[in-house]
Amino acid sequence: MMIEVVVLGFFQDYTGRKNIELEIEKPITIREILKRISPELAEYIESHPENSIILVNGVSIYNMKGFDTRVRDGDKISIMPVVGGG
Amino acid sequence: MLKGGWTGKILWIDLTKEKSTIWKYDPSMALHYIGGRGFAIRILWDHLKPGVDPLHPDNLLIFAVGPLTGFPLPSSGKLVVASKSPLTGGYGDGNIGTKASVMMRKAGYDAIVVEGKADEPVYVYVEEEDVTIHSAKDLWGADVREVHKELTNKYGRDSGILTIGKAGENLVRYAIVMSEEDRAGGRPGMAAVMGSKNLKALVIRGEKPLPAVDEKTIKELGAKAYKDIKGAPMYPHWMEQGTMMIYEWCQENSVLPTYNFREGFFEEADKVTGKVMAEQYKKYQKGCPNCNMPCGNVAEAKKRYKGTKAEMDYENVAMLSSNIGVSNMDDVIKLIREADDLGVDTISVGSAIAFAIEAYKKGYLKEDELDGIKPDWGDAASALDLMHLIIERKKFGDVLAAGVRYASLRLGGDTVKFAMHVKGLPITAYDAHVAPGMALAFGTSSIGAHHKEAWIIAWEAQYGFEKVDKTKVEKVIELQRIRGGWFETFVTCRLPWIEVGLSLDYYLTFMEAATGIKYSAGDLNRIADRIYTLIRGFWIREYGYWMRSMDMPPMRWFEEPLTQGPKKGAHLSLDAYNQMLDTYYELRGWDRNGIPRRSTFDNLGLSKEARELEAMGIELTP
Ligand code: SF4
Repeated sequence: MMIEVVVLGFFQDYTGRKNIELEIEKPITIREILKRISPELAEYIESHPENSIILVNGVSIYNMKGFDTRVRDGDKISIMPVVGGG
Repeated sequence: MLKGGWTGKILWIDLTKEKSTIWKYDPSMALHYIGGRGFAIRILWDHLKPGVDPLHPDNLLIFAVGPLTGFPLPSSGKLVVASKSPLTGGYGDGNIGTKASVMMRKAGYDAIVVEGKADEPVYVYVEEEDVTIHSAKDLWGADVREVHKELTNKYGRDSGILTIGKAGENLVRYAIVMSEEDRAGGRPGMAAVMGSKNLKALVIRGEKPLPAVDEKTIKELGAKAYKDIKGAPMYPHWMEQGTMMIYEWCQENSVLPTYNFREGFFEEADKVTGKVMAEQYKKYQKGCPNCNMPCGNVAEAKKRYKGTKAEMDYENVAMLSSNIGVSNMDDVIKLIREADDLGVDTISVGSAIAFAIEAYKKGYLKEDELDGIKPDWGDAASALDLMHLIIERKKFGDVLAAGVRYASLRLGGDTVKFAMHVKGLPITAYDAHVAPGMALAFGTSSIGAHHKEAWIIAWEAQYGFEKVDKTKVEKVIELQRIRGGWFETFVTCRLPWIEVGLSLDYYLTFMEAATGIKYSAGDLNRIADRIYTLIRGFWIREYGYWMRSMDMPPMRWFEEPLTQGPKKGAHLSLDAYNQMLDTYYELRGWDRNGIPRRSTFDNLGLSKEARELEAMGIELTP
């Protein structure tokens, strides 16, 4: 099973790239995904949840089960800082 | 009496009478309105005759700083420029980062008001109590950079210089005040007001110490705040890309304005991101006074316009790239440079160009009306020609120079649906098909569609774009209070707080150290509410009526779903928007038509103003 992860902004400093494809065996949680792509990023995000936006297929995990939200085959995960711009 | 923070003085310049006076204002204005836009609305309400044509000599042009401006604390080099807007007909203001802010403080003033009109082009030189008016005949017609250079040579590098370009001279209704070549402020046509007064520039110098009750605390705490900023996790990324870092973020969330806000997703966005700008085009960065997180990223074109440099802020870039379909960085740099040199608001001119392309393609405009220009999406050369047509006010450019609201009323038909403005002020660079909170922020911003007050979009992405509830409306108001209230009255830059997370607590201590008065967050919010209600009162006074449709974003976002990108099919719901607007009015104490209730005026100490509106025949709900 494949999931697609997009990492934006300074979170790329942790992952080194923007697009990541992850092979998973069974549905896993956002927390596990974060650990798999970068344990340091996972630590940062979990300690500053207000500074990050995580979307599963465009929907904020805030409105699902937070870090315990499970993702499945074909899901698209976007991980981004609460950026500025104005 | 005022002990510190404020100088207690306002310089009032009358260009018709060629004289100036120093006004020692009633200190209660400082206590109840703080400064910046608070002073501006208070002065406009009290001293502007209702119904004055914004381009008439009687209109007042106000430059105002605040009790924190200029101190050695983060990003304190800002000033507010305000007037009755020739673009919207209501209250207009903008803030600009410039040495002129610090110099106004050192010259000993909390504000400078200009009224009247000079017989011939002039500039005004203010050096503390010495105010002189000089001929600007030689400078008339010159672009912003030339004027800046000329006046810098004459008065020195540390002078504060505010100027207008050709757009202001030609009374383009979204001409913007410029400083230091590419800093801009006053989107609702503040530079057209300058132009209408024949005022090409204002130069300010002074050496007076800034008044503070407790200078030591400001210094020490300021140093600590600067350190916090440097240590913030966001800092390195911010320093690399500035506001441009949001470009790809907007694309990812389908809120990047594309093809005149028809879409929120631009297929060529990859070529214009903050990363591309930083890695391939950026030359250096510059900032406003007292700022250690400068966001003016100056990029240089490489091919077609080799050597041309411009400051790349997200708003400028998005409105002159995706929103007109352009993806070549060289073209974007050129368009921004040109707009800055001419002194026209990049956002509004981007909106006007996009509107003209769409109107032309849909058959509302003919080639000859555009002087032979055949505009098209992605065609930067014709966009540049259109910009000149507007600034020269030739053919239909003359209509476009009055803004997209006016142009759409002239053209009629469906053009009204794709004239992307609220209250006449073009929407800034966030497409809100998917973002009801941002739509409400645009709808209720106090100067017309602008993001500076409630830039809710990042919060909204996290909270859930799809939600339309009271919490979201409350957030809009909270942001309006802090961004449109606190920072616009202190007057300092909001970005240290919003971008790198500097704690708001600092500002309460800064205020106490500067003024000796202990303002709580609640006090400041109440002042912000007073300002919002008075500004709303001003719009009603000038329009003579009010309707809730004036607080609505354009119909495009409701009626024409996105056709591109991952959020294909998304659009705003009219019912949901109306529900949010009702909640907004209720929380603000305004009635169902957006008119503040009599009791709201009374509670905010604005009973006299309420009576004035009633005397005009405006019915106020109790
Ligand atoms: S953050 Fe940018 S806008 Fe704010 S003061 Fe610094 S340079 Fe100016």
